[in-house]
Amino acid sequence: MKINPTDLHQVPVLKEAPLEDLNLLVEKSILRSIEEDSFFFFQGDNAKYAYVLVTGMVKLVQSNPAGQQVNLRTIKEWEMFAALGAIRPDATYPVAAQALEPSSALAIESDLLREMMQTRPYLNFGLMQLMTGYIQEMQNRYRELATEKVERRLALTILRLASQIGIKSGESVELPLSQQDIAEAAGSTIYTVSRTLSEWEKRGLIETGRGRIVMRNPHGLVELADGID
Amino acid sequence: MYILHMDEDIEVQSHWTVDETLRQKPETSRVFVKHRMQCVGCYIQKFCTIKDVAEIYQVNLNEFLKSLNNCEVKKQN
Repeated sequence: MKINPTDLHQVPVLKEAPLEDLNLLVEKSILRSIEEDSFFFFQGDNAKYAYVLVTGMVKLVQSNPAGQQVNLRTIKEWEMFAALGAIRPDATYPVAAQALEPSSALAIESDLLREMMQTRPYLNFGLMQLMTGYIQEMQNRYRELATEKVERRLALTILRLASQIGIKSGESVELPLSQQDIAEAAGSTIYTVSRTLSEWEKRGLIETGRGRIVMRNPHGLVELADGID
Repeated sequence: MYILHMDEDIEVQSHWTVDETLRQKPETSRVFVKHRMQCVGCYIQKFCTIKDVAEIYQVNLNEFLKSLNNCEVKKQN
């Protein structure tokens, strides 16, 4: 398989690149093809290459020392990934890149990319756009983790209490508990509980009253607790 | 007080709760799982009837009842 240099214009980082640069990149780089489930690189390897995915799909996974894995990102065709070696010569990959289907990628030497960056503003802007995109996404995910975790915990607490002391009335299930009771049961504060419950009330999941909570849509809470939302 | 008979002749009814269904016919747990329902192990089993479940997961109530009632106990030979 051969890459037509103009195909690289589909890579967002390279969309402003002149043809001679694309020729240079294709000429100096290697096309690597791997099978499904194989790796382009592992977490901790020296970041010697940046990659442009040409065919297939790749996931970037990070493991903690206990071996738990987090799927950080999925790379699709014509996306650049693992470019951090171009910015920091001593960098190691913070993730492993595993193919989700048979994949091929152009492996561009980090040194080459770094050298090119000295004289090519388009490349710097392209990489900065890639990076700011990553940062924004991570900020969103961080916010989700910090806030939604509470929401799930509260939903679980309420469901658990409902299974013990809930009273069915029609389609709803009623809990004879105050927001303070819920906060104590969930190990949370009354402020958080109050904020979350009024949010749920707006969504039609529950109704709150003096010393009681009515679950209008119990299954909705099950979905929240499972994180399916 | 009624005595709970665990025989194969009992018919699951649409007004039964999930809790009741699983107690009377434990083998139905496979049917819930097969339909990708979260009912087995759910906290609100006592409050949801089979009719509710069919509505929530948008399956045909009669067919769902049929599959609950037709599921066979795995016999140990």
